[in-house]
Formats: sequence, C-alpha cells, structure tokens
Amino acid sequence: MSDVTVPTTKRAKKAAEGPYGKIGQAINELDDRLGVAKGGRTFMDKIFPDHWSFMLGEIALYSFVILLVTGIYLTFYYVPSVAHVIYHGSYKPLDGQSVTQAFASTVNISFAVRGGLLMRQMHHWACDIFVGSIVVHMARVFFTGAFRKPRELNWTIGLTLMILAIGNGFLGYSLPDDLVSGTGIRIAYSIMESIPLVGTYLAFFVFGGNFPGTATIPRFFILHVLILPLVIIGLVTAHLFLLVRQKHTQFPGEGKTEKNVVGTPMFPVFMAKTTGFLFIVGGVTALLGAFAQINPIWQFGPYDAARISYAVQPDFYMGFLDGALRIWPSWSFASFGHTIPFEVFVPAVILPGIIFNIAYVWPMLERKFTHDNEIHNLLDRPSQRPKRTAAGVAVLVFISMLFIASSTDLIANFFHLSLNYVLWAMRFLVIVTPFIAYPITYKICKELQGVKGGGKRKTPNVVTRTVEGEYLATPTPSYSEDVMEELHPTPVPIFIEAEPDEPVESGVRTVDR
Amino acid sequence: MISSLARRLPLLLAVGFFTAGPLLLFVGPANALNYTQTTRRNAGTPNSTISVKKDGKVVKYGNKYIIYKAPSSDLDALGEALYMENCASCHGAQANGVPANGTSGAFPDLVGLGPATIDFWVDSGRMPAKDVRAIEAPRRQPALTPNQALAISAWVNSLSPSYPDIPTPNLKNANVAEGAALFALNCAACHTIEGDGDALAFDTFAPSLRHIPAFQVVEAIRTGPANMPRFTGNLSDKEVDDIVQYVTTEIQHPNNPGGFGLGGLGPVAEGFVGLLLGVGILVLICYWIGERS
Amino acid sequence: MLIRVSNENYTTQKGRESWGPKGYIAYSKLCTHLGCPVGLYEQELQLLVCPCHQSMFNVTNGAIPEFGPAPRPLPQLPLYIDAEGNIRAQNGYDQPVGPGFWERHNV
Repeated sequence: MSDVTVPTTKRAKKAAEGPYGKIGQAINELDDRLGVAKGGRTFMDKIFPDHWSFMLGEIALYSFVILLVTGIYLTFYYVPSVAHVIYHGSYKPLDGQSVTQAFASTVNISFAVRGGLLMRQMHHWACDIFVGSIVVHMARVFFTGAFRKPRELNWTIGLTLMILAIGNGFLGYSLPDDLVSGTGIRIAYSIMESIPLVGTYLAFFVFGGNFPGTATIPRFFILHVLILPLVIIGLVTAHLFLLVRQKHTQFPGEGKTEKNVVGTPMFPVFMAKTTGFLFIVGGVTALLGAFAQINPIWQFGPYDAARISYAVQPDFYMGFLDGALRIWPSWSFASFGHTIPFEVFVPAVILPGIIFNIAYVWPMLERKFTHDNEIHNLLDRPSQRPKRTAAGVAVLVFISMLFIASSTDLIANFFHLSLNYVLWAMRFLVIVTPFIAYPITYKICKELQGVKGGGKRKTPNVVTRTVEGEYLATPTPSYSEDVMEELHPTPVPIFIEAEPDEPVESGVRTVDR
Repeated sequence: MISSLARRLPLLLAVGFFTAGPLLLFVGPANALNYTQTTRRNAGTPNSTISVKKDGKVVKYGNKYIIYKAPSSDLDALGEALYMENCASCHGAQANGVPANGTSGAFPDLVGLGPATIDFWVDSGRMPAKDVRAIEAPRRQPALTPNQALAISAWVNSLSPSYPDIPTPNLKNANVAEGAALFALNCAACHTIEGDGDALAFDTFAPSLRHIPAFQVVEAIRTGPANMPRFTGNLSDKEVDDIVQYVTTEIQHPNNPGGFGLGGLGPVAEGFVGLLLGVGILVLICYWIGERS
Repeated sequence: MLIRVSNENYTTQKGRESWGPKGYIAYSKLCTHLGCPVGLYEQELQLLVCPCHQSMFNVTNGAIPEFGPAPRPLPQLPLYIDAEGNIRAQNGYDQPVGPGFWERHNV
C-alpha cells in the first residue's frame, strides 16, 4: 500500500518538486520551450561595481517609471481640448467662468477626482526629480570621464534623453492651459518665430496656425503622452542595453583593471538594492506630492491673451533660457525689409544650441586634444583631470547663473534691491563667474593631486599612552582596497568575436542556437 | 526718473485694460468708451444711484455694492491737531506740499485728493513716513488709530471737499468668480496672481495683498496710491466689490489643497524644493545604500 | 491698452500730435520682445513694464524701451474723440504688433 516513490507527506511532496518548488518547475518548463535561461543567467550574473554614485542614474530611471504610472492615471481624466466650457465645479472662484476643457479637466483632476491632486503633484514633482537627477547623473559621468571611448554613443543617447526630458516637461507643463503655462506657450511661439527665414513657417507648422490656436493643446498632448514617451522608452532601453553590453566602469583600486569588472552580481545583491531604491524614489515623490504644493493652476486661472501675472517663471529646467532672455540686451537687426530679432534668437536658440552641441561633441573634442584613443573602463577621479573638471564646473556655473537670472524680480523683492541693478548685476555675473570658477577649480584639483592619500578613506589614528604618561598617535595602515596602483590605459579585446561565416554552396546555413 | 514722488502726475489718470485680445486692434473702441461712460457713475464720485444730502453737502452716496461716506465734520478739530503734529513738517500747514522752509514741489500736495486717499496712506501705516527721502513708503504697523486717520482725512478734506469718500464694500453682493477674472486682468500684472507682490522698475515694489482690510482695497483701487494706476471709469463699483471679495477670501485665505504653498513663489521655489529636497534626499539615500553591500 | 496721462491733448512724439486727444493714449499691449501682455503700469514713473522679462517702456515719449530686452517701442494707436464723445481709432497700427519675425518690414 505504501509506495516509497509516491510522496504522501507535505514535506515529501515539496522535496519531490526540487529546490525551486513549483515556480522553479514552471520556469523549467518555460525554458524547455523558449530557452531563456541562458540569457537570464547572463543578465543575473552581470557584475555591478560598488560605488554610490553609480546609482544616480537609477533615480532618473525610477522617477521616469513614476512619471509613466501617474501619467497614465492623469490621461484617464484629462481632456486635451481648447473648446470653451462654463466651469461649474467645486472650486468657487472659477464657478461660472468660461474656461477651456483642458483647464476645466485639470481643475477637476485637482478637486473632484479621487487621488487626482496627489497624482498631479506626484507627476510634476517626479518630472522635476527626473530632469534634476539626469543632470546629476550626467555630471557624475562627465567628471569621472565615463563618457570616453568606448562609451561615447551612450553619452550621446543620455544627452538626447535629457533634451527630450526637458522638452516633454515643457509640453506637460503647458497642457493645463492655465495663465502661467499659456504665457509660456506664447513665449515659445515667439522664440520659434524669431528664427530667421523659416521662423514664421515653422511656428505656423508646429503650433498649427497663429497664436493662440486651437491645435496647440491637442498636438502637445499627443506629443507629451505618446510620441516623446515612446522615444524616451526606446532610448532608455538602448542606454541600458549599451550599459550591459559594454559593462560598467569602475574606479581604480585593488584588483581593478581595464580588463575586468569587480563588483556584486545583479542577483541577488544589486537587485535587492535597486528594487529598494525604486520604492524609496516612489516614497520621496509621494511625500513631496502629498505635502508640498506644486503648480496650483486653480489660483492662476485660465489662460487669456490679455491676462498676465507678474513673477511667472517656467519650471526650473527651462529657467536658464528664461534667464538668458531677461539679461540679453535689446540688439535687433532690421534692414532690407527683414527683421532678425537677435534679442530672442541669440539667447533662446543660438545659446542653448551652442551649449548642447558642445556637450555632444565633448568626447570627440577631448580625444582630439589629448590624443587618447584608448579604451577606458577605469574612471578618472575628477582631480586627476583638472582641465576637464574646471571646464565642467565653469559651464555648470554659467548655466546656474542663467537660472538665477530668471528670478531677478524675486531676488530684488526678497533683498529689497532695485530690479534694474539686480538685472545689471546678473548680466555681469553670468559672464564673470565662469571665468572665476575655472581657475579656482583648476587650482583645487591641482592641490588635491598633491594631497597624500587623496581620494582614499581616512584611517583612524590609534592613540596610546606610554608608561611615562606620554600620548602617541600612530596612523593605522590604509584600507587594502584603497591602495592605488599605477594604471595605464591598455587596449581591451573587442567584445564581439565574429565567427567565420562559411556559406554552403546551396545557400543554406547552419547557426548554433 | 527716480525722484518720482516729487513729480506727481496729474491725478486725472485712468488706465483701461481691454478684455479683448490685444491683437484685435480695438476695432470697436466706441463700445469700449460707452462702457466706460455708463459705469463712470459708480466710479467713486457722488452721482451714483443712492445719495443722501444734508444742507447741500454730500455725506453719503453709493449703491448696493459700495457705500462711500464722508468723514464726520465733528472730527475736523481733532484732525487739524493731529495733522499739525504728524504731517505738517513735510506737507506744510496748508497741506499744499510746501513745508515751513518754503520749498514747493518737494512733497505731495494733499488738497483735493479726497478723504479715501488720505485715509489709505495713514491707515495703512505708510504715513507718517519713516524715511521721507525713500522712493516709496512701505506698508507698516500704523502709527495712528483708524479714527485718527479718519480725523486727518476729515480735516484735509474740509480745506477743499472732494472725492472719493471713505468706502465700505458690501461683500454680500459680490461675485467671487468675476472678481477672480478681473483680478487676473487688472491686478496680477503687478501684485502677482497669488497676491504676494514683487519688485517693479527702479526700486519700486508692488506690496503683498495678504493682510489688507477690504475697505483699503477699495481705497487703493479708487485713488491709485503711489505708482499704482487709479482705476475709475473702467471698473464699476460692482467690479471693485467682486475684486475685493476675491482678495479678502481667496488671496488672503485661499482654499488651497496640495500641501505647503511654498510662499507663492511659483516655479522658482518649486525648482529649489525639487532639486534640494527631491534630488538631494535621493542622492543622500543613494550614498547610504550604495556604500553597503 | 488705454492710459489717460493728462487733461490736455497729449503728444508722445513728432508726427503723433493728434494721437492723444484729451490725454488719452493707447498702445499695443503685446510686448515687442516675446509678445507677453504689457499689463504693468507705474503711474509715477510713467513706465509700462512687461511682467515676463521686465522690458520698460516710457509712456510719455511713444513707449520707447528704456530698459530690458525689448528692441522696439510699443506701436501706438492713433485716437480721436468723435462728435458723441466716444474715443475711436483714427486707423489701425502703423506697424505689426508684437515680437519680431523675419518677414517684418522695418519701420
């Protein structure tokens, strides 16, 4: 009656399923058919070097996930139309006003939809965090030289992602059709119109006619919720694929060379960390969304071409453009029956063009000047490359000053200064501060290079008391992994080993699975 | 340009902000002005619907939105004493802007400004000025009581009776939604849409509207203190009443869900919070979990 | 936008002698910088300020920009007062309103 091969007890049944239980069995079944285990194994064994700054990009990735989730919720209730309706909702100061459907639906999301305001605020905060963390991540990549060969392509993709994030942020900011964002669209239209020769046609094409048109909001909507997110998702995938393919960079240290990657595997250590981080990013965004008000459009009211509020600024990632527009002098060209509005075209089109193009070609520029055409998998410490670090700091200072220039009125009001003097001061500071920042950074880097034990963790001193009562401080030896080696860039073998491909006469080829 | 308080403009000054889109080129200006003329009746001068007269003097006029009332002449004597004590050193004993040393034009002439003007400046604590050479006299804790301010305005007005008188808005008849729209059209360009005020040209400032009593809002709109334009013909008493309702409710006690308001500074403050709190905390967390394996 | 600066007929510039009847003068509300509504008027300074980028236009001399990034004066609308006392426009603006663009003829 009792057969030893048939498990009767629970424990025996479990043992028969093997060490991974039913899930393991299911995966086995799946693997028999799809053959995913090999790829999955490679993925799970991927090595991530341990340094906190390597996780900055994940803030951006996870805030993008939050943007997608909250954004989907918002699309359920948002109406992308500029048809006018009479608002009759719970917000009394707007009751009876003629507003666009876009505005009315956004106010309804804030006041009538359950959880709508939280979702809206989380979406907006996540956007600010998304762009901000991209900048921080980019700064890490730049200052450590992680953009060097072979990772120039990924630098380019990352930069494109940042521009797309900024662009999509602006589009989303414009969707509620409130007073502040409507002024922003008006300015965007004028900027596009300022381009010589093609500006008028371009503005008509993009905005679907003269400002304020009825096509703008629906177009912005489809760009914001479908087209740009798809492009961003595609580029993020490429970004991560290249990261896996090219393996992660690492800081120099014991046992770390150009040819290896020292770190913890994807599973389980890194997986646990990064999943935890996803929830932390979500948590911080939710806290901000719940406790810090952002973009109270119901106070701004609907957009109307004659209405305007003082102290209107764009979101922070567009601030540098607004600042440049404020401080640029009124140099316009008008002759031969044509007008070139340099006072708009230069700060709003040429200037960002120069900034982003320098960023795009920076890896090439650096290769050209250093004649360093080697493959680098070990990172620089910022102090080791004083010129690059100083140049990066100078550009960051320049952009930050432009950002500060976008709030001249608030600075003047806060410190009770003359608005005109503040503006003149900003004109001066924007030009001068980068030239001050460069030599200071350069000098600091040079000094840091000379510091003994620079870049290593500090070791404790052991204080002992001799029998005579004298105190002695003896430094303990430095941590073994902090001992630097003299490292020289060495070429690494090419990653893809192409196998000889010998076609059979019949044209039929045999490929390994 | 900067020494502007000395060069006061002619006081008949009105700014019309047309609701039509600016691209419409004022194709129908006739309508616009008819509008102005029909509503002028309620613009703070006493030819409006209800008016009570006593021995030829107008003491009270207005409508169901705003009642303008002249300060009682019983206060004249008190007002004169207070004026001589607090104001005469600059504005002169005749209130004509000529102080005892005889330099005319250095200080504003107060004759014929109407009680609401005098009352606004004194009752909002701007006058007596702390720094007489300053470009603007900012709002302060009033040095004189409301009754003393009324007394001074009564005495100055007795020199040459004029309008507007002291207003009392009736907020029961106001429509807050129309006030919101009018506020965005007429007020937000200087005071910001959240009513916090901001720095204007050449060291002048638009004050915050967060703590201003209702009747002072009317006084400011009707008299145009300092750099503020005087709104008379283009805003009817009903419209002023609507704006006052909006300012005293939604600007001063906003129904404002969504957490801390970040001082109404808009995207600048939001950017700082997003970068410092949001990204900053996440980078710190990054540092915290990144350094553990 | 319409401003009343005095009781007398107001001349802002040569050739505009009849444009400001009884002190009423009208300017385009579109800033010549980026097209924001120039809705901020300071009566003592007699300045129109654009709330977006703080261009300042002097009302008394034909809205010539005094400060900030705006390159051109605000176009002025010639006004007259008809027999019934209504303010009317003599004709339209003599130039395009708002920000600059390629096809704009310089005037």
